[in-house]
Amino acid sequence: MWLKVWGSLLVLAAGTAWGMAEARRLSARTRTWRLFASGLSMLETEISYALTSLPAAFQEVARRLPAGAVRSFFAECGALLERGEGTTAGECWRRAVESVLDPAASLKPEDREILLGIGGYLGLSDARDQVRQLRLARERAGERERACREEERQKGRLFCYVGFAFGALIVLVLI
Amino acid sequence: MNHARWWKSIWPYLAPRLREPLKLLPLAVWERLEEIRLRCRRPLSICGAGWQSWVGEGGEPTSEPGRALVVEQEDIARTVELITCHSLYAWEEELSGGFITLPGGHRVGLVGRALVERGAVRGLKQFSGLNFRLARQVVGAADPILPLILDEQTGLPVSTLIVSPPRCGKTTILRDLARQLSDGAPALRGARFQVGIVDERSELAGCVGGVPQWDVGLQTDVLDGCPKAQGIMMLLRGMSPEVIVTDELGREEDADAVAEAAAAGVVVLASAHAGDLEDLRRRPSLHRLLTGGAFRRAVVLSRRRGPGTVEKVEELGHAGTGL
Repeated sequence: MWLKVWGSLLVLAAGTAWGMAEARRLSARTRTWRLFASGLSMLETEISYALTSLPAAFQEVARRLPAGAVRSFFAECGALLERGEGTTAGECWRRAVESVLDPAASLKPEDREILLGIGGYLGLSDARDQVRQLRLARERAGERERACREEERQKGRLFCYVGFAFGALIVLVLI
Repeated sequence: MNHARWWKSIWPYLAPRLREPLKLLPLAVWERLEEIRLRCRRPLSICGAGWQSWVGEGGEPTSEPGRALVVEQEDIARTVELITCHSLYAWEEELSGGFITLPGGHRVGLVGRALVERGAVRGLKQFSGLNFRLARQVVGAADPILPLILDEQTGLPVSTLIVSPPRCGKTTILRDLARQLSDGAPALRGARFQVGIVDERSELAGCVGGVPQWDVGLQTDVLDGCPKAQGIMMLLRGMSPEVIVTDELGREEDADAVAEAAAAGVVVLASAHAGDLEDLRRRPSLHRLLTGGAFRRAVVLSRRRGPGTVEKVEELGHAGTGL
C-alpha cells in the first residue's frame, strides 16, 4: 500500500517537475532576449560614444551584464576576436551563438536566425551605420522579448498544470 | 628587426589564406621586401627598391602573373577587418587619410569606394586594394645625411627639412638621425643630444603600448600618436629637448609650431612630401616651412641610386641654427 502511495507521489512530482522545467525554459528565453537587448544597447554606447574596438567593447559589455548565458556569450565573442586566428567578427559571433547562447537558452530557429543576422555587419561600417544597425537589432530583440513574455504568460502556467495532470493520469492508469 | 620578429608584426593582419605563401618567401626576398600589395582578383604582388614580383601559392616569387596566387575580395575584406581590429568605425579619420598605421610602424594604404560628405572624404568602403608598406630599421641609414645637417663651424646640428617623394627613405633616415643624435656618432665628435620625437602616426618609433619598437636612441623621448603642432609645443614645455624630430609636415599649424621651436633654440629635423623644393614652394601650406625661417637647411632625397639618394642640399636662411 505504502509503496503505491510513494510511487504515485513520485510520478506526480516528476510530471510537475517536467512542467515546471518547461515553464522555466520559457522564462529563460524571455530573460535571454531582455538581457541581449540590454547588451546591444551597451554595445551601441561603446561604439558610438567611445569608439571602443569591437573585442574590447564585447568584453566591457560582458563585464557589465549579470552572470548568465548572455554575459558568457559577449565574453566569448570578445575572446574569440582577440585570439587573432584571422576569423571575422561575423564568424566569431556565429561560433559564440552556437557554442554558448544556443545550448544555454534553448533558442528556437527564428531566434537563431535573428541572432546570426546581427553578427553579419558588426564592425564593418562607420559608427553612424553601426548605431543604426544595432538599434534595429535592439528593436528586433525587444519584439522577441515581448513575444516570449506573451508565450511565457500563456503557456508557463499551462505547462505546470499539464505536467501535474500528466503525472496524475499515469498514476490512475497504473493504479 | 630580424625576419621572424618582422613577420610576427604583420602576419596577424593578413587574411589566413595569404599568410602561408608570404611566410614561405625566401629569406633573401624578405630582406629586400618593402611592400606587399593586395589587389582584388589580381595576383599577390611584392616589391622592393627597383624590383617587383608576384607570389606563387607555395611562396615562390615569380615573374609570371598566371602562376601567382590570386587575391580574392574575401581576402581583402578579411584583411581590412584584421587591420581595423574588426572596428572600421574606429578608424574613420585614418581611412579618410587613406592609410592606417599598424603597431610596429608598418603603414597600410587602402583604396576602395570613397564616402564623400559635403565635398570631403569621410571614409572608405568596398575596399579593392591594400598596400602594406613595411617599416624597417636600417642602422646607419642616416650616415650620409648626418654630416649634411651639421653646422660647418660648430659641428652642431641645424634645423633641417628633408624633402622627397614617397618611398625615398625619409622616415628611415629620420629614425636613424634620432638614434645617432641621441646615442652619439663619429660625425658628432662625442656630442650627444636630448631628442624628442613627435610621432603622430606611430611610424618613426613604432610604439606599441607606448614603448618604441625601433631603436631611436637612449636619450630619446617619444610622444606617440600626438598631432605634430601640439606635440612640438608639449615637448618644448615639458621635456626640454635639444632636438625635435617629426615626420611629414603639411598643415599650416605645423609651420607655426616648428618656428616656435626654432625660436626657442631647439633644432627641428622634419620631413615633407614633395618632388623637390620648387614643388614645396608651390604648395601654400608648405611654402611657409621654407620661408618662415624655421629651417636653416633643406635636403632633397630621391631613390635614383636606391632610397636615401641625396639630390640637393640647400641653405634656406640663418634662422633655426639651434644649439
